Amino acid sequence: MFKRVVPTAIAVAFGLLVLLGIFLPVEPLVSISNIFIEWAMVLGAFAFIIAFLNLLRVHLDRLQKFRKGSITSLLIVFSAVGTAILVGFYGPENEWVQHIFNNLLVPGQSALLSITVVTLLFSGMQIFRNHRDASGFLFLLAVIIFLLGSVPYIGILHDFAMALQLPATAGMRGVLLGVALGTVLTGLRIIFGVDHPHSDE
Amino acid sequence: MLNQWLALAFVLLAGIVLAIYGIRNRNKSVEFHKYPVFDALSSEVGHAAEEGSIIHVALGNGSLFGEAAMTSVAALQGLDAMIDLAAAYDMPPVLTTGDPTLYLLATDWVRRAYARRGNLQRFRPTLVRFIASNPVSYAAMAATYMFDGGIGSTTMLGDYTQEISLIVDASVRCGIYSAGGTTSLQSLGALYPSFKPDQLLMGEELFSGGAAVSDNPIYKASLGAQDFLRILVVISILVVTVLSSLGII
Repeated sequence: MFKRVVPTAIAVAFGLLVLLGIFLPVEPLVSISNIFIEWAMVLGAFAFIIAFLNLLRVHLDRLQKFRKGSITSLLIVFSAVGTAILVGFYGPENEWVQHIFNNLLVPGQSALLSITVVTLLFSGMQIFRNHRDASGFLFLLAVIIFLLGSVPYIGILHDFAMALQLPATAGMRGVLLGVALGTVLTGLRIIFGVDHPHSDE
Repeated sequence: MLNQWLALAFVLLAGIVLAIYGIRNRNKSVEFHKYPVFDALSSEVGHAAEEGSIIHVALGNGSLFGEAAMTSVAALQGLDAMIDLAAAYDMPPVLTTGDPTLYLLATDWVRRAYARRGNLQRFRPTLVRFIASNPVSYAAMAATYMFDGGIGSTTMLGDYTQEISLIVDASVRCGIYSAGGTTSLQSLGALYPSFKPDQLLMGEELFSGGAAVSDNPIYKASLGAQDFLRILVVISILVVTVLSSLGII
């Protein structure tokens, strides 16, 4: 009873009320829906604490076994604990915390993003290894036209790239439409209580 | 307000269609398109057992609070059979995620698989790993796992953006078999050139995971309802296009 009916009933009731609060913005549905969303946010904060502890546990485990990647784990543990202590004591607006954010985190993220550009380029170069057909050729052709078309001085290619945006947008919307339908039906299965990702029963 | 009423009407219609398909196909075996990615997942457990390697599953950053919540749930449903098999043979995959709420759900998912197989004492909380909440940091750290060695295959299922190319690039460089699927357009652009068609799930194909790996008829009913609603949406688009071209609406 407690393992099967109660979790499903709670999930169905909360799901329905939040959904109705979004679709029908009338009182008291909106207030109830907002309260539930606020509760979920609080739970989300606790999830972050548990996830942070998992991060420490995984890397302390790796440090104990002292194998490849231990130096990375040491750095992660040191920076995670250090930052948590600093933010915990002084708050997120503190000068030192902001210093870490602006001078370590932001440049680090930017560096990683620039590496992503290179890895994307390498991925693109593998197109004919994995797609030796018309789709591979079309993919490469579209990429070249878009890249050259983004240069303003190559007029005709720029116009061609603009024209190519029409089928590209249609394709993108087609993919997104399918994803939206999949999302709606997966959500409905949970709200109907026929699918319970939160329990086995 | 009209948009909200229309959205509610569409969700209600989807619910009715799902119920009809569910009742109609209750005792029927429905055939649907098979995706090799899901079929390959279970055989990966066999390969991992033979080679003594680890299966890495990257679940991405799809938070259970956001738009990608159902993508993350569908990804876990697609992995269900593989996690079950891995729990039975105690060849657990390592699941990595970049979202705390997804981390909790994934941990519970793996723990339940061990419990179902009566093997709960072998479950270890470090089988599911929260790596970083920032998508780029998550992908970069997941990529370093490949270089640490021991990983036999990598499956990427879930919500990503273009940073997924960091993981794909690492798996290519390390010679690790990889496959995956995602719903975002940026990550599809990154995955498409790197994966053969049988290694890739595009967009809505990710949602067929439950039907591919489970006998539960509701998953197949859901796919049937999805096809029906797609046709309905296409017809609606055509009708609206014609009516607006004629100046009626």
